[in-house]
Amino acid sequence: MARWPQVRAALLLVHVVAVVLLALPSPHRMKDRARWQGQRTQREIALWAERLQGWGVDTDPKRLEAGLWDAAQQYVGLRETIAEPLSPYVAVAGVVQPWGMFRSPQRRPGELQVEVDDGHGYRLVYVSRSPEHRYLAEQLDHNRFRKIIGRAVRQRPLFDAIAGFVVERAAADFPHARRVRVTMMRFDSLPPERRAAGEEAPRQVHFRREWRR
Amino acid sequence: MKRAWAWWVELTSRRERGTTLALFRIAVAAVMVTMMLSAMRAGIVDILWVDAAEGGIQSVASGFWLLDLIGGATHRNMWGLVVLTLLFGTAMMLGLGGRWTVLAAVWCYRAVSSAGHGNGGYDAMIFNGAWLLFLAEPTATLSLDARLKSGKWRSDVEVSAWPRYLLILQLLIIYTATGLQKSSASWTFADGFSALYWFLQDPNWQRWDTSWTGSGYPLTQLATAVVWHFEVFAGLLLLVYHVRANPEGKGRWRAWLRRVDCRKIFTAIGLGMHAGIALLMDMGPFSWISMAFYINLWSPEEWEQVGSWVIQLARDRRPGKARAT
Repeated sequence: MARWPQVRAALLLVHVVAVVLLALPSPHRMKDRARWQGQRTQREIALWAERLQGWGVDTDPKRLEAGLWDAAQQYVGLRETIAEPLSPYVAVAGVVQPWGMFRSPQRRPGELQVEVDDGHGYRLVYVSRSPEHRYLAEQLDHNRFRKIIGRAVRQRPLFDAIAGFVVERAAADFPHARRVRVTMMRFDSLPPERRAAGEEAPRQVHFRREWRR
Repeated sequence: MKRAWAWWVELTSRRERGTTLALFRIAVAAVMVTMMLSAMRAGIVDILWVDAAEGGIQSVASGFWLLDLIGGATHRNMWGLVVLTLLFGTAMMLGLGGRWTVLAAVWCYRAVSSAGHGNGGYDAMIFNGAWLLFLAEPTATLSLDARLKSGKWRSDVEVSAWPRYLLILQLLIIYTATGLQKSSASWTFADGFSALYWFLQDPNWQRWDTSWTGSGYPLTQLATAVVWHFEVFAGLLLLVYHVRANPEGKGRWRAWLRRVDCRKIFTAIGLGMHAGIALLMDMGPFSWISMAFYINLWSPEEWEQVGSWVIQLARDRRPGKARAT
């Protein structure tokens, strides 16, 4: 029993090492070449390259990306080697550490729209976060559903799954509907001065699915 | 090395009353129960958590052993898990069943939230908090367990202090890691501290109309700068705790840290930040579970003082008392 404080201290040290180590940026995203090519990451790399050039560093987006990629892959290898023995504890305890909240803003966000045509042309019944167009808002605006809608901006199959659900519900809820249209709109967020002038960002169709009775 | 180990063993052997952990237990359970009720009320259980084969919108590959063990994300399983999370979560809030109720609640919650794509960082915070509560003695006081054992809701029984220390560390790790991963130039002066402005343009996060952010841009810049610096330097709070535990020694900084309770400054900024997020952005229970972790910054004695103060205030404001005075 006299040894228990020592044993406990050792076990708690393992816990501390696990939570500190696993809080370091996740390797899965860093290994994903497609993610690096994403619009958001490319914009950040271009922005940093521009700033570094402004501070006299001899670089451009391509060279900066290559340097960052090499450094990231070395880091990923090291982190995976160290984290491997801790994985059974992490799996049981659930002390996963995806602490990348709000890494970088989505400057080209998505907006989900649902339209119904009762024979007089399409009318909007749902728009993301709209106070006026609230059809299915209780579900679609729930924080867990918004997570999926946010991901569906980048994943067509996820958008199709959402659209399938909306169409099925709308077909039942609007018995006179001839057509239902679900659209993922995208837009470039406006800079503050244009927003202050009362301008609204024009929307472009990103994904769309239409159903006819 | 020997000295450091002896210090670590001594630190992890300390004991204190269980008030702080009990308050944290109640807060975490309240968030879990509220999450399940909110999902039931919105009608998303069948849509998001049940597999496509039984009417959900997507194929569910959980990866969490409990869900795999009971046969996957069927309608019956998911509703069973939701109801069990509610039951165990309520028992955890009331402090019934000790650590095993906490473990049952968090495993059911993990099984539910691991289904589908709708999980978030707040789920991980709940897992982390509840796991440390399971390892602790979470129902020593302010619990039905205490009531059944001693006839009183409150108990002075001492529990291990290390779970509270690890919960403080967890909060600081979350902030520091999040801050360091905010690699976008928009979080820094390199892009004019514009990050929060851009986030507020995304309908996915907005709670209200954010057209005011154009003219209120400087305010969003200030908030971005405060949030980023607060998160990146959050780990310095450990220094504050170190000086509080070792008040001897000289130096201007040490003297200042002895004089000023930096926990209050940290808490004011942190709670202000989370209140701001909750007010402007709809992020589910993120702010509430984050704020729950702040409970652990304060010792059981400090919470008991607050409790006594609240009880006294309530007594003073009773109509009978007002008439008597």
